[in-house]
Amino acid sequence: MSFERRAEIGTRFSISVTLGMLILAFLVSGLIFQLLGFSAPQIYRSFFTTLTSAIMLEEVFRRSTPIILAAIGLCYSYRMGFWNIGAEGQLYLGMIAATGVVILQKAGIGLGEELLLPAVAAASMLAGGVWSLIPALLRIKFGANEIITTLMLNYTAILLADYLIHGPWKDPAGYGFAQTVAFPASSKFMIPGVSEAITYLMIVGVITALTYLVFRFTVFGFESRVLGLNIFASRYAGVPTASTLLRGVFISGALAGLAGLIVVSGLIGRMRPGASPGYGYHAIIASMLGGLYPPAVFMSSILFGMLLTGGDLLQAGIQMPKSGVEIIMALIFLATIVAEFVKRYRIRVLRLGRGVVA
Amino acid sequence: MTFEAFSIAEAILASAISAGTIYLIASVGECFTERAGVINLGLEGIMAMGAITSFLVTLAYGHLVAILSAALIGGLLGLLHAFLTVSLRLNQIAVGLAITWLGLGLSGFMGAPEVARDLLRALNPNVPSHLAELKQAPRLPDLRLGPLAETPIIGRAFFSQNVLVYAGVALAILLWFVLFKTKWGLSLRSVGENPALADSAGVNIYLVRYLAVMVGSALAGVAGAYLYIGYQPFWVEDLTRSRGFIALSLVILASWSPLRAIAAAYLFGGVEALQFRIPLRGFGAETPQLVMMLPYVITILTLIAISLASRGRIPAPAALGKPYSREE
Repeated sequence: MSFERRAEIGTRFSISVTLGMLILAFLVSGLIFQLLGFSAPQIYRSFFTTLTSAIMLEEVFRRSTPIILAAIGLCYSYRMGFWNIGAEGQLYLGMIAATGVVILQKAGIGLGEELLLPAVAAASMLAGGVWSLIPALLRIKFGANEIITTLMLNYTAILLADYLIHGPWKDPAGYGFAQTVAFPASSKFMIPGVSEAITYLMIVGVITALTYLVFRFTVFGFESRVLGLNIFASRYAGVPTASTLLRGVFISGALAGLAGLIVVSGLIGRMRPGASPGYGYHAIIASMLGGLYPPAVFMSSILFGMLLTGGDLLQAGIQMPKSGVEIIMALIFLATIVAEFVKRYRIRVLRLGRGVVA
Repeated sequence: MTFEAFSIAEAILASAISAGTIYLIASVGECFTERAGVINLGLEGIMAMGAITSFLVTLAYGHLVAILSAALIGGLLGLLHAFLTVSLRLNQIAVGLAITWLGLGLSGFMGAPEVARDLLRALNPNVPSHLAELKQAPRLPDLRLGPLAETPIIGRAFFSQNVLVYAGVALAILLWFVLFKTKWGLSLRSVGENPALADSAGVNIYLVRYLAVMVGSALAGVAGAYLYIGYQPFWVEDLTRSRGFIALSLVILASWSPLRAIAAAYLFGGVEALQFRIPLRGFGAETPQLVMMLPYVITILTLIAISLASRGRIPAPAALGKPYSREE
């Protein structure tokens, strides 16, 4: 059997395995909810409801946007075998930097109203990127485990945001609420005549396509792919050079930072405690479910936007706790990992079968 | 020293030991697991499951059953971990994270008032189920060890704590003894250092790793139970706040020795104690968030310090994180 033919069968086979495991994850979560006193059919129905009206779909796309950005970003880390769990913290740094720029602008220190959008975009991406360089440098210089350092930095970033919101950046005109000033219209991504959700979809669509091209055609993409195409493989082919690692991880952080900007400028309009319900963590699972392949990561992220929107409906409708969605996502992640085994096992059976025929 | 300084030192030391016990029980168990070559990143989620279990079962059947149930739940999650990583040889990092997220999601769900109420009713219909909605359970009582508890400064810290604080130290000594002074411990360590050699010497790699992961996970469940009924008996979402991951880095600080884990855990207990003390002295009274960063920042600094002190040669078990199979 030639190499190409096996690869082709592998692709189709691996997609069906992943989809099968995904369905299994949904069935198991239904079972858990049923055991905990909630109606599984009602829960499934709510998730499908999110696809049935234009308003719901807009919400799904809005909620998917930060996940897509962070998840596409994470592909750059994971392709190098760098276990970056820090998108959530990088996202918060993006929010903080963007809010800082808006506060400066309102105080009259800034580049002016017409340059506000480029300024907040640059600030949020730079902040997220620089924040992500910390664990990368700690790994290069001190061999520090990036899973622990990125998680610790997530808590640090969230606490920093909380400090600013409750302290120096609290909106004086906010009736005592813990929140910052609102983002002005000039700081938002807007395309005239196009809805907010479609605007975001176009932006993340372009970034997904660019990432696809980077992975496919550039030296950087080739280099990082050689180093560790599949993060589940226990040992990657080599240790990435420091500069490749730093570049890839910076892009991860910058895209997470941009996701943070969209959350505060668009989705909720200002910085508040708990501004992100965990988009940075959802993105980890979405990128792995999509096999680090940008178009598939895009689709997986939309599924997660659907879950979040459906989760809101369930919270309002049948008082299902919001962590219900987290259970489903964790099971999807578990299913993604087990799918790896199913794929590997299948390959061995095939080889055995061929041996018998020959 | 003035009387005030005495009583502050006494209080800080007592709360350092009290908070340190959360880390101690979890990291001692993880030392054991990692010595067999398996890293369990599920610690955080297992602790959360132990905590929610102890909350509900304490209300239903009291402390003893609660601690045992938390150990059982932890052991079962460990069984899942071992099945996926030892039998199916899946990536230990990925499996651990999945178990962490599953545990955090499930515990958050089970702790929501309406779900907790139903679960308590199912566990024991004779207990008024609205108790679960109050999010509180009785704290483990302190056991005062006779006149020792009256010792100045250290009496409160070491001789007037609840039973799990003493059990934590006893466990550390016991597991150190098993690991380093028994034949069984030697086999377990050989599985973590050179599984192929251990295999050829007739050690059952799979059995040893299953047991090591399940014991470590059961202890993580108990650490979660302690966190709730022994330390902070009020249920909030994200009760564990990354303490499971901090416990993982303490294993490195303790260089995989349960005895050194005692010092490492109490050191971090001290950081946690300070975190609540500093705002009382005025700094961060209004906005304590900067002080709350301490454990996370210090964890990172600790990893740097370990690396500098060991000059990049951290004495991890050689086969840590690597799945074992005969044919490869």
